[in-house]
Amino acid sequence: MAVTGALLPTENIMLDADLPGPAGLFRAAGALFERHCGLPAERIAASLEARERIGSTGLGQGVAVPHARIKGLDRAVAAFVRTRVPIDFGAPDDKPVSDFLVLLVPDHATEEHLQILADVAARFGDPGFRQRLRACTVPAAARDLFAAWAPA
Amino acid sequence: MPAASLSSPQKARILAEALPFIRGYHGKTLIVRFGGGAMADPALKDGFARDVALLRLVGMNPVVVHGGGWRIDDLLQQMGIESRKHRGFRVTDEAAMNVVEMVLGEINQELVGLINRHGAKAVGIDGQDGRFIHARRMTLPAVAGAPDATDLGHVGDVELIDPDIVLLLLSRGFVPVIMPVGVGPDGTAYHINSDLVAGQLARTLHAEKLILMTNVPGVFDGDGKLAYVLTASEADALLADGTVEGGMRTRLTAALAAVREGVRSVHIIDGGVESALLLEVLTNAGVGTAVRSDAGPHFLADTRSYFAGPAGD
Repeated sequence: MAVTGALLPTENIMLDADLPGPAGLFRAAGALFERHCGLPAERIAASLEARERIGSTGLGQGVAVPHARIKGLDRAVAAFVRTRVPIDFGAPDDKPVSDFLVLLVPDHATEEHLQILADVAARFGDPGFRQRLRACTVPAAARDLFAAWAPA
Repeated sequence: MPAASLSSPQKARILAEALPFIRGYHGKTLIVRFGGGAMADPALKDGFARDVALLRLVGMNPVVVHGGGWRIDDLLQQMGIESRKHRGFRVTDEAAMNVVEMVLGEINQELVGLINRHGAKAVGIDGQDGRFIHARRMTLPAVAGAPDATDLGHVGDVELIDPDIVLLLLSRGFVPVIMPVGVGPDGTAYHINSDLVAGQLARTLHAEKLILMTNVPGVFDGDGKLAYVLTASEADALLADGTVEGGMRTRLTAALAAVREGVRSVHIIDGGVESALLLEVLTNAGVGTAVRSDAGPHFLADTRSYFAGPAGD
């Protein structure tokens, strides 16, 4: 499943956010999902935080993919948040994170949802992609970049 | 990207982004091993010295350990002294040891001079100073394919590091620049692999970061792919099955020992990349392989069990 407009709407992209730490990030993501998808912000923030407690979703190189299963959600939905200042996220390379792809999946998460995360991880593993993403200054450009990416 | 091609807002942004890293590493000890091809490139060498000075001047405690690299081989050859290598270690007789010390001393003073020129205060020391590196003679044990144990002559291993002299220098804001020569109990000088010295120093000082600069992009896994992060057991496996060989073997072993003894962050990076050290310390761009302990997140495995777990709310 590609990260297309249906999964990652432009309204769910927030660039150069001023967020002091993981808790701030989860709240900001929750607010985005509430505003544009009608999901309850606080519950989403709490679910993201709960998943993070199992182990960091940081991938290294300044990238993380926080995610959560949400009861009542019928299809996966994503948000992308870039922080102006990288925040400490317990990433495996011990480096703070500035690029977050946040994914919410239905409560009955499937292999397909795992595949989305693996796909996003592969995407972020491409230095060219990371560089182009960091060069994006408007949400629409970031959305197009996610939609256009194809594995090399 | 050359600095001249950046606009002022871009430059300002880069500086602002370095702030959390500067804050995070303020007053922390970073052990940096400098070696490989970068030492033969005047621009990379000068850039390295500038980066070290910069890290010191923004409040970190960098310690440099350098190798001798190709210059030792070149000089040995020029002087007609035969030099053999066994599994990445040079067999060093007395004549060769004199050359080793000459070359290391020269590189040491070059680095000290360059760091000084960039505004920090560097001091060159070897293991003899302050009885700092206690060495023991190294013999390579017999292994399959090399049935005889090999005596390497004046090649040693670290027996013990007495960090007093390094701590003294750091406490007064100096940048120690260490040449990897240790002394045995009988006063014999031994050349020690610089990765081993850097690794052991990081362990002894409980350094925040150990950075081993080399002349390849990092550690390659069994499929020939650059590994961006290696857990201790993944690194173990690459060493056990012989995927990692030669100089990288020693380097990865040193990295692994440091990780196991609690050095928080260990990186094997490509010294051939311009400003590799600054990129490693002050940005979240990766320029090599990070080695980490087995504890901690395993992204896909964690997620798989999270997805399989009981329904949430």
